[in-house]
Amino acid sequence: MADRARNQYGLGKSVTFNVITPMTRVGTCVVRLLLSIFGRFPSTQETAKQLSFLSFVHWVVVKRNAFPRLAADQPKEQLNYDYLFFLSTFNGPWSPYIDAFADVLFKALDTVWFWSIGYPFARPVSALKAYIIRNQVESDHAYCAYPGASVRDVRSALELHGELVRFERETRSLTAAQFDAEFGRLLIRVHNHLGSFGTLPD
Amino acid sequence: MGNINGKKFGFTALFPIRSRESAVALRPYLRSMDGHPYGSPLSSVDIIHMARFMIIDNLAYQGVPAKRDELKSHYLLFLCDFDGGSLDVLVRKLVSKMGETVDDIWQHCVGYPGRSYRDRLTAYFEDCQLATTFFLADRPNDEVAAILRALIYKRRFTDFVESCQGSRPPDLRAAFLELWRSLESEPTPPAGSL
Amino acid sequence: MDLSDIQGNILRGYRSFPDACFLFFRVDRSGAGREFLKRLLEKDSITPGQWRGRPEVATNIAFTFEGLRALGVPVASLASFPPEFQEGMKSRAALLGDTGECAPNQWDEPWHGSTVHILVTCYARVRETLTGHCSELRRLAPEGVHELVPHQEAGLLFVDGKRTRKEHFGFDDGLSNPDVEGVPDDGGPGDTGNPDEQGNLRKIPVGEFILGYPSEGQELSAMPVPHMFTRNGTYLVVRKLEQHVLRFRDFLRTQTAALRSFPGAKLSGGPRAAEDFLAAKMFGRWPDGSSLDLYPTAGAGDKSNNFTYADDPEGARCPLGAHVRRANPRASLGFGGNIVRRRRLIRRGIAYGDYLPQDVTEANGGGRRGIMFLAFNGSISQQFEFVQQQWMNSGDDFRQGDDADPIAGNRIGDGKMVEPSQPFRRDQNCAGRMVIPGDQRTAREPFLCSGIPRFVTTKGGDYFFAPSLTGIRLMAAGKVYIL
Repeated sequence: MADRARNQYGLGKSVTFNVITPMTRVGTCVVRLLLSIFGRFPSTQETAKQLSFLSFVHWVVVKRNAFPRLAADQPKEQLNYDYLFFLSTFNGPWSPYIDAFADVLFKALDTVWFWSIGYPFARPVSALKAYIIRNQVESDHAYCAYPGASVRDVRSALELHGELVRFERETRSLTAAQFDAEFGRLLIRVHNHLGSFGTLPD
Repeated sequence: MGNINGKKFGFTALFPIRSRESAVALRPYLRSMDGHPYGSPLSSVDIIHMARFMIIDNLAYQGVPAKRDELKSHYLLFLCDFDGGSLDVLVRKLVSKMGETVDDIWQHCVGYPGRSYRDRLTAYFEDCQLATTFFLADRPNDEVAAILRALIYKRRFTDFVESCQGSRPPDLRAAFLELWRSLESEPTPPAGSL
Repeated sequence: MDLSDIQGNILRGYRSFPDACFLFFRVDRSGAGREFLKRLLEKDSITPGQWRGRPEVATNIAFTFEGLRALGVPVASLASFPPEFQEGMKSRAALLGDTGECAPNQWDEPWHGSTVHILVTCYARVRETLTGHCSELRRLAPEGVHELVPHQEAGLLFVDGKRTRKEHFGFDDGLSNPDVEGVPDDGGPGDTGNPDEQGNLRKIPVGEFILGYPSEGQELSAMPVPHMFTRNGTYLVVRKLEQHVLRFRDFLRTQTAALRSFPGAKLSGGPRAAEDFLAAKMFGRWPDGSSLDLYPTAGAGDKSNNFTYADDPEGARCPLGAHVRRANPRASLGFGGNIVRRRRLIRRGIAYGDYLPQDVTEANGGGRRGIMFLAFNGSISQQFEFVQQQWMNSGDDFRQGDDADPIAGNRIGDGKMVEPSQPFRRDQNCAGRMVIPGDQRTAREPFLCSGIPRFVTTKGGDYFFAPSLTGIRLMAAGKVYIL
């Protein structure tokens, strides 16, 4: 499956998801403004981060005359619309991912995609899924530097690592008994960071 | 905000493809790249978190009253999330680590100047670059190496916790320090291996 | 909502029908299949959700995709059924984690050798009436419809001579089913709604479980055509799950020594305290049905459902990866319950085989035992398969990584330890891990169970469509038309 990162041991957890939708000139102006507002104010980003399945998301507005033309003999594009490229990497199957967006982020979705031609609103979600299917583009190659790790696996590893670094530093001058006690406290702090991870069987 | 979020650079570009025949040749090549042991030849560029290639050869028609758009050229979309403040950092590493594979991919694209002159290649990438309006990254400041190392620490420490259960080692501190030293001195796992 | 058109055992369970028999049929000629349905309808055999007089044996019927096809349902209708139903459960084995010991090539008959077309379930108030009833049903099957053997008997377990609602590992079962809007209370122990923004539990729209009504997404769930045929119908997931009770008890015993010496464990109450503690932590309830969320240290005989895990975000009381918390996370996943509300199942499972007394330890404990898992849902892929893939066979949503459900989950790599030469592939011990979180307040440390074998193996099953009474009449008359 070209959409999904992998390695020799199995399938990765990162799945690429690409949706390209047309917009009018007015739409382009509004969307660029809205996205730059979202960029500056963290609250929408916070909800998306709490969903905990998005590694990276790019919203790219490509104006109709901005498709790169690098040679005189390359024909000039003559398009009726500008395009919004939504390029994300997420974990897990596609359908629940869209459900979660529709259930939790429908206001933000509707605000940005309202300006895309043919957009049906995020709820009810079946119409949204049909719109996405029409406008989705499959990746031809997807790579992840840590394919067996989900967003949560990565966060958990980084937090655990931070705890271990602190623990090692702060216990250097303790007695053996004190060290044992601190180790116990450390375990309680990190107990939900001990899940296994790895690529999935093909 | 644009293409940068924290320490990460989110690079998106559309490279026009020379001809329909080139696109037809390029697609199966791209789709075979995940046969690499670490999932991609891009894995040798150890600053890349995630990347994708896709060939865009048509734009979906939304149905009346919308108008139909048809592309006159095919485009190779390359999206790459990497650690770095500028595009030059990426291009330098692509050339030094991926070598011929860069030619294998980009030779199909209009205006590709080859690998020999890095600043020309960087300029080429800049010409094809798209500005990202909003770039969201879950961990903007954590580099690839830090993530890979943290993942190995998580795995080994969990195994260590398991081994300590039931009966703690008589000298727990020594056992922990042995684990710690071995982790600190272990080389970073190769990108794409975990 | 017309309960007399919807089949029984869906919106209200057969609580006073403790014994059951499942019959499996294959249709060789569509005319004969329709004749069978006609005869069943003529004898008023199919029990609706609302009856005029309580039957001695409640009988219901469901069809696989192949069964619908064999009965002559037109292709245009068949094509509108969802892909997972068309494929059938056997074909979805990899997705469901039915691999290794659970793979279809290891299933029992008739599931292994055949595709069941028609499932007839019979639930009796009094066991002695079952045999006669089933014989009568078999007599109704004309030439051209044949029974797939063996049939499957099931029934509430006798433990210490008394009828109970326990399953074979010793836990009270069926304590929490969805609280559905518009359904008169059936006197069950308290069904559970979905959490709302304030953390209270509210009723669930009936469209989550019956086709033709609004669902949690505030739309009509996808309905195959023609609507007259599928409205008031639903999908039924049947899984024959064998329970390896000796494996389970042995596992608990092997962990006992480690648990007793556990810092902060404070295990009270008798020689089996450690085993009971571990079993409860794996299940998420005490054997008597008390929730760990309400009663973290010992069972209290309180099977109520008024808990949401909202005050237990770290799993100190009920581990984040415990079985019942995975099956229904309630308020665990935040967002005012918006993430979990589409994933509920109506479960009508019933045990098969005899309960194994505690003192039996020999491998020839005699007989096989398990549960006939039955779940009703409006969408197999969005509900049952989601829960199976995302919550049973994965732990990511619960911060448990790839750790699967300790009771029912699959084991990646079939539970083998990773070769030291393959360090990058996976954690060393893939034979099943579960973290029992510690408790900051009492300084109890976390306990990492490992080497958890598969206690539950799949031995059969399939995806069925349980039509309304109207739907069955249309099929019987050969009048399922697409314009």
